[in-house]
Amino acid sequence: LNQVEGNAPPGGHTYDRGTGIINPEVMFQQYRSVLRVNERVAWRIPVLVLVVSKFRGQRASVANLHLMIWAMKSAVTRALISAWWEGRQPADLATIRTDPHLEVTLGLAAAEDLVAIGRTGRVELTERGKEFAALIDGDSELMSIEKDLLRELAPLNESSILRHMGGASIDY
Amino acid sequence: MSRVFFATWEAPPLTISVHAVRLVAETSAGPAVFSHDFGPGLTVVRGSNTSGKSLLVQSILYALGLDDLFATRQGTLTRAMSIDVDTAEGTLPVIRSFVELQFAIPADGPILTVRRYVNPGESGSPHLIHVWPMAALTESVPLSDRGVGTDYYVNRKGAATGSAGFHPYLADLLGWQLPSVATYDGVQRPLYVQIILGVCYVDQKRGWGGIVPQVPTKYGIVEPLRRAVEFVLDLDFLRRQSERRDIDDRLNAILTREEYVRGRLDSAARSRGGRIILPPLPNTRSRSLKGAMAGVVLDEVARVQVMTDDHWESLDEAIESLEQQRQRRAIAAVEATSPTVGEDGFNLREAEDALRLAESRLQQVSARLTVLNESDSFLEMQLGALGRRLDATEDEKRRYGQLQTLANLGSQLAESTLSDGDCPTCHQSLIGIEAIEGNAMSVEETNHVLTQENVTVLGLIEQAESAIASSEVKRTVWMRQMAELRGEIRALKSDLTSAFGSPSIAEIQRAVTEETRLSTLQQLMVQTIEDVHEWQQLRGETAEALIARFALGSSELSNDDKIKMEQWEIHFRALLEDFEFVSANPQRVSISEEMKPVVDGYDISFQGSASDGIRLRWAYLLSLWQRTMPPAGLHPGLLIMDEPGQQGVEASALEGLYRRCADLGLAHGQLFLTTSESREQLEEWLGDRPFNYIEIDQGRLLHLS
Repeated sequence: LNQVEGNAPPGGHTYDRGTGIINPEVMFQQYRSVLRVNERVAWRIPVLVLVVSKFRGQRASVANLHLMIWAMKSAVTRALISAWWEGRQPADLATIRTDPHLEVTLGLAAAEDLVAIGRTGRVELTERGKEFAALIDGDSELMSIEKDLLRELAPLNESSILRHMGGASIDY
Repeated sequence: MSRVFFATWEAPPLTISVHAVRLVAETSAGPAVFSHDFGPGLTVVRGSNTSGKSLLVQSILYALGLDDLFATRQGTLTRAMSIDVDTAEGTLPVIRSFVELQFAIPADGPILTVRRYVNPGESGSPHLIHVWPMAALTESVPLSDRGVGTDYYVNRKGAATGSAGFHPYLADLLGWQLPSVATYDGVQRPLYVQIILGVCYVDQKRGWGGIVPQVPTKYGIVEPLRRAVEFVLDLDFLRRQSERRDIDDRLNAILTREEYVRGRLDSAARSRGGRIILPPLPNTRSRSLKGAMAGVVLDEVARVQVMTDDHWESLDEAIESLEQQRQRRAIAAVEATSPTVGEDGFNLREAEDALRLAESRLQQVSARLTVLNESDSFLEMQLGALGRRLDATEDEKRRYGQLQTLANLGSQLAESTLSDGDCPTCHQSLIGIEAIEGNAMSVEETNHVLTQENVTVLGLIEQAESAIASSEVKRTVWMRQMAELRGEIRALKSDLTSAFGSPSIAEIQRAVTEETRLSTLQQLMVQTIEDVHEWQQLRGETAEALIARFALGSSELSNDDKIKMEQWEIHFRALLEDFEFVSANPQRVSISEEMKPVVDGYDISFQGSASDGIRLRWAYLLSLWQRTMPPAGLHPGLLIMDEPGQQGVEASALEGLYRRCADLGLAHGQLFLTTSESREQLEEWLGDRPFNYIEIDQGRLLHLS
């Protein structure tokens, strides 16, 4: 599946006048995949910063970040968390969701000095992180749907999540 | 000075020549007055600070209803003309005040005198401008001898465009055809005279702040400065834009009507089990006429079809066939050949066969209806799934669209990951981190894919909706057929069990069904015949409007426009050199399509000295004036610069400005400058160049008469 690069035009061939043999140039081309925006670091880091900034004290446990960042993923996840939050659907262990890329995102955000791991093991915004969160908040158009959801779930803290989700979050 | 001078002066055609002004503030000690006659060319108004220099030049604009060019929140003119006036007898309250202006358009044309109240006292209105066709000021005609005159409105709803508005009257005198321009609320409005005249005045307080003239923005016109300059330059571009907008307005009206007529035709046809076959409309979004008219044959007509048994036939044919059957029945009735049960004409076997056939057809139609319902449920399900897919791709597109904004916001804070897409620690690309297979599309490519996906999903939704719409027609037809078949079966069963000699119910039933059908189709014909005709007309009008739009040519500057712009730039650069502009090489300064000065194509966000900003303004206004005097352009021939010596601009540059103003003033119209420089200084700068001079006495403009 690797792309073969050569001088021949794609799909072309060479013709040997002496033998009359046509040698087709075979070309393999790899189609590149579409990456969902949720998988892009450039999207994930702002989401992480935005989510942490909405938690009390601008710090959150990794378990709750898994839940909230997963909730930001799509219209379906947003609808699901709203339903759980308002008690329209039961949130239990079977409905727990996690974000598989969170660890990498946390690592990159920490390397960029946007977040730090506090003494209690919680993720907290650094000064740079707070500045970035303020910039994102300053533009009302930017991440507006994500902000709307976070506003709907506010106030966000460990106990409110425990209360609304009935303990249905992972304890790491 | 005054009229005689104007009469012998060869002013350019269709410009304003201001002859005289008179300001009157009535007080308990009599009127405080200022009056003066003006000549052509340069007029310098000299006085100390707060002496009333600005009041004098603003009064000229006020009398012409142009207070938008200088009005501040404090009021339209200074306290002296509205609240209280300083006189030799102290400060006295103003009982009533007005400004009178005598002018002619063109310079050798009919002379007009206008009066506009500032403080109207107990009568009058500051929104009215009284006009008398006479030289009332230079010939000292008292109000009682002026006659009735004509009143025009300013600063009132409709005054800018209505026939009683002073500005439409002014535009008419100037021979201006005001183009329609785009506004922020989406409607087209004529370009306001106040906006155009923004290139004729620089306000002392805020006018020298930017590098381009300040034109009123309160009318919601998009890019008002650009439109004003395009107008005075008399560019084809603006004219074409205006015509294009008129055509687009017409096209929108046609397409709205077309949609309405199409909807009416469609619902009329559907409700009677029919359909409308409309030939394609010209594509209004196409970029070429050929593309717009592709597949359009204007002779092709719209058709109404109805379903008869299992096939679509034209409405005309269906009606004709039913009418023929009616005729046959009528003949049979006259010849008394309508069969009755038991007679020779009534065949029992035929009736039994007909019954079996009707029952079998009922089963067939019923089965079709079941399949149709199942297919509809599937389509509805598909539509729901497509709707969700569309929401998801739009959500994804929205997020992708915001990636660049986020990268910009975070570029200072998290440069590696957000701007460069690299790991902040090892500085390797994040591509392998983001996608396991490590071969993902770039953001731009993904955006493109998502756009294409949206188009595809929208196309599928359209197809599913159209399939559902077409099955609705089939359902109507088949349900009608089932009702008819059930009636026929009942009638045939009744015939088979009736006594000999009674009339055939099946025959009667058939006749009734056919009559009902004929009547329905005739109604459909009546209902659609006019709409089909109108639709055809609308289609033709769409094509005509599109042809007219493409005939206007490209939406860019024409060659003539480019020449005009280049000539303006030549004047502009020469003046920049004259005024000792140093922030950039004057030969590299040009005017952008937005009518802003640019250096090597980049906006001048003024980083040079503030005084260079002032020099840029002088050069901009004077060169525009120079280039756009009629007949070459549409400049009204009046330029007022209130205190151009701002920001400590050097004396040598000011000298250059005064000399240029004197030279250009005589050649091009009237130019008013206010200053606090001494007369000796002005005479030294101007040498033997002629200029008019007004010295404001005793530090105040108005004096008790």
